[in-house]
Amino acid sequence: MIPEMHDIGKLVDKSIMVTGHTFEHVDWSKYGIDVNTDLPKNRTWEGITTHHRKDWEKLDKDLILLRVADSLAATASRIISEDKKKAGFGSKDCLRVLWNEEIKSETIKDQKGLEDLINFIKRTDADYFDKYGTYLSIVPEDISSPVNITSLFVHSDLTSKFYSILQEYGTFGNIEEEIKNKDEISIGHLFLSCYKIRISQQFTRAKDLNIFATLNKLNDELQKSEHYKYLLFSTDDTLWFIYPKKHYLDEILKEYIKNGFILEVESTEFPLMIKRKGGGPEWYTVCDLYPFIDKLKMHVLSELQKLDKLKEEYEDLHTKRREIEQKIKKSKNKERIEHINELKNIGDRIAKLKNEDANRGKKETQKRYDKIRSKWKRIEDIFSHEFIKQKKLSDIIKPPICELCQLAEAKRKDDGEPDPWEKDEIKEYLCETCYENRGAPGDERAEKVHCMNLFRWSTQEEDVNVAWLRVSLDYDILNDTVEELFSQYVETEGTNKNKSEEEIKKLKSRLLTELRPLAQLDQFTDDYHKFLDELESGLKDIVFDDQSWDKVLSNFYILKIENLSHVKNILNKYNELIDQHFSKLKVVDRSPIKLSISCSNIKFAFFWHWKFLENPQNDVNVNLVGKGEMHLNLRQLDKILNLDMRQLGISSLHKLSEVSEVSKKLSKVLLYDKGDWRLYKEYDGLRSLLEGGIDFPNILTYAKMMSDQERVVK
Amino acid sequence: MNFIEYTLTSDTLCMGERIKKGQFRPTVTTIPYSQITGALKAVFGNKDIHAVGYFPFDNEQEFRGKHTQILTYSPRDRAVNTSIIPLYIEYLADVEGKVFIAETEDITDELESNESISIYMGAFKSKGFGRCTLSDRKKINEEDLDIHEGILNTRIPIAKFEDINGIDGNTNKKLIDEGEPTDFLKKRFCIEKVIKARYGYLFEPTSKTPGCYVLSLFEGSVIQGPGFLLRDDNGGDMNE
Repeated sequence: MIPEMHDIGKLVDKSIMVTGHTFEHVDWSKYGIDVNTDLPKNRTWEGITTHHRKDWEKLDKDLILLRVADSLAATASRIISEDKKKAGFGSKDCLRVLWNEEIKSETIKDQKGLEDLINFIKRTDADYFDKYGTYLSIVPEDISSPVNITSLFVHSDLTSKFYSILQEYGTFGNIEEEIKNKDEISIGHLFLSCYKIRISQQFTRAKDLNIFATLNKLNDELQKSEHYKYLLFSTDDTLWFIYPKKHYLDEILKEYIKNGFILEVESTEFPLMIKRKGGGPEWYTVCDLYPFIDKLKMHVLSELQKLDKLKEEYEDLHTKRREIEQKIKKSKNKERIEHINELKNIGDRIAKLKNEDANRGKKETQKRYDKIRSKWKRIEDIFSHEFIKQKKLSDIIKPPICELCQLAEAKRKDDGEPDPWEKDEIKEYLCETCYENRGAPGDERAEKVHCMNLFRWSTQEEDVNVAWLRVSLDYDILNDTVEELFSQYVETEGTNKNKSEEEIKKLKSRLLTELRPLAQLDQFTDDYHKFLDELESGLKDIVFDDQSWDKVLSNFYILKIENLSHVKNILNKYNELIDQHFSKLKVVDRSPIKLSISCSNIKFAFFWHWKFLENPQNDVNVNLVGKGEMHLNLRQLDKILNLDMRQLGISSLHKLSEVSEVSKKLSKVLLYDKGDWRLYKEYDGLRSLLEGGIDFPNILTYAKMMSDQERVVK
Repeated sequence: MNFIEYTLTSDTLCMGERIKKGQFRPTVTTIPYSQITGALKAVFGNKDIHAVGYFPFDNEQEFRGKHTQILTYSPRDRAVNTSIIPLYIEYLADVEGKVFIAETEDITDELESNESISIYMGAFKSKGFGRCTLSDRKKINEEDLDIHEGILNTRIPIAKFEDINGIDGNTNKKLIDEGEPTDFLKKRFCIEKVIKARYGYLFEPTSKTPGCYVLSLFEGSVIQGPGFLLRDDNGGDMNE
């Protein structure tokens, strides 16, 4: 059976399918297809046509597994609520990509397409994603608005992965029997883990960058290994796995640790079971997949605490009110007025609390409290482990310690004396791993560095300026971004004339709690890879020839630059691609994708660049060594790039840059100095940036960057 | 265990990391146990002193941007009257941090009689780096330690060299496998659990010149311990 093909019916137009997507009501004769001879008779077809059947007792083991895998894949994007369809926001024939514009879906509408599809199902050797990938990427897994956000591509891929994991559970040996006799079957646990790969070395020579080649090699090996089926999605430095047993991945990941990488792991254990629905023949899957459970726990806990306080305050206010009412009855005129005033204040506070919390008083708070409490109980069953995996470390290291990783003893000779890495009278003490990574001076490996151009530049006498460029994806921020963008989508999408405002508000709030961002993280990662591919082609166009750039990783490049103003071309390309692939990231506070560029002479110490590249401060970061740094968000990048540079003469930029070398404050004064009216006018654009919320140090760095064009003329 | 808190101020400070390729000496942005304890021992003698510290900031990159500077220094070989390869020294300029000293019998009286202490810490002391003043003494009593979970803000060895059972011993086994802190971490710094360890090594002198590197918890580890050791409790850049 090919599980990823179970929803292939969604690629067929409604005009053919009539209802559903399991080919139940298709009038085959209309398309010249004979039901008895032309339709497939394999297990895949069985899966396609039966994966929505309600009587599970009539399904065999594989079909039950497919149903569970399908539900799990759906729960990776939202929890399945029964009355989802009744939400009443209608359905849409488009895929809403949260971080970009919506894509109009295209489906198979003609006889030829349908025949092709039926014939394709009959084959067992073909690649589904290869053949129908284009359709799968633009058709949503669920057309109901506003949950039409996950592509069928991601859903099918997840189903396939879950199916193979489920097959590893021994429980399924006699599941067909169990389903007949039980109301609830516990399957086991799923482990969702995020592995962040960190580099422990501090690079000092070009050859130390070989560690990135090792990382590439290990990632490639992982893709070819049998464990690849557990890999949900990944970037060069982050791996997301889902797997059936604890410590299942230790074996393959130990290669990373052996090569000196440090793995930061966030692992969450989810119980998985199936339950009978309302005593009938139908079952449903119980598993709630959150990518960042700790964050959710913190959020729910803080809501509970807030409500606890609110409840306490309500109760106190009500007790006080009762006491004062008693006092009023017993008191004389003057005191009575004081009490009445006090009572009024209490009344005002109660009204304010109702307003603040958008509740209708204590009962509503209690209801909300109970709801959140039940959510808390549900997530309490989910376990989270966080740890770091690194090489076995001994308690004590005798000097010398490795100068690069500082986590192991420097290599020793047979006689026990330190065996340093020596070149040009410089001795460096390295451990076995770092020594091996760099290679001994003169040996074959040492000459085969990962980045040949970089090696050439660093050994040449000529003055070479380079830009180190790294793009990174922060999944933690991405998770928040997906939630924020979904909330914006629900807000704009949710209208229904047949429902009251109150009902719509409730529906919207429920939809927000039902979102599970895992599938979205997967889909975003796919788009991120496409974005990186296009960025790479863009960079090639900027540098013109293969001798002027090196690719360290798919998200990390070194470019030879003639002058600093070339960085603007890179920023322009980056901004253009962000508009093309992730336009909606410009409306959120923080972008999960970060760009860092660090420029200097080739001889400048790389580990200082790496410190800058590894921890980006804002969405776009530029470091001009010795001149300054620029940290912008994507909206500010837009503004700065839109500045008409023709207004700004090179000499005026140069003047600003020179003055700032003497005093930054003085350079700011120069920007507003009306003494030289021509200069004042030229600085109009820079002042508008400052007034638009971009800090002066950022503007100054940009001015220095742009003023560097003069060097070419010289 | 009670602690004495001091505010540390320094104009130029270069701490921690070893020279790279014989040319670059970067600085760390926290105050490791080995640095501050060594500096205090230089003042008070080889007593039972245990101290740690940190520079409070929200964002390390921002802090580095504001406070790190580079000095190019070229040691001169007087024999041949030439300068050898220049050395780039990264140092922290004009910084203010916090230092916490565990109150032990050996040191209590000394600390009580000194409202402010002048120490030299880190590298290039002979070139004028590392002069620090500890002032604004405050006492943190055991009941005010506010033990909870958070991110460690400094570097602490897992044990003293003399307590570790020989090289490749198993002192850290329980720590690594179960997160149970060693006696040293428990008794000297009231750390109750190590939830997520980020390890590194700190140098501990064993006599006047030789010494050993001891396995240590580095900043970024997640522990259950006193609030003053944790990053979340000490946000905000007091250097601003």
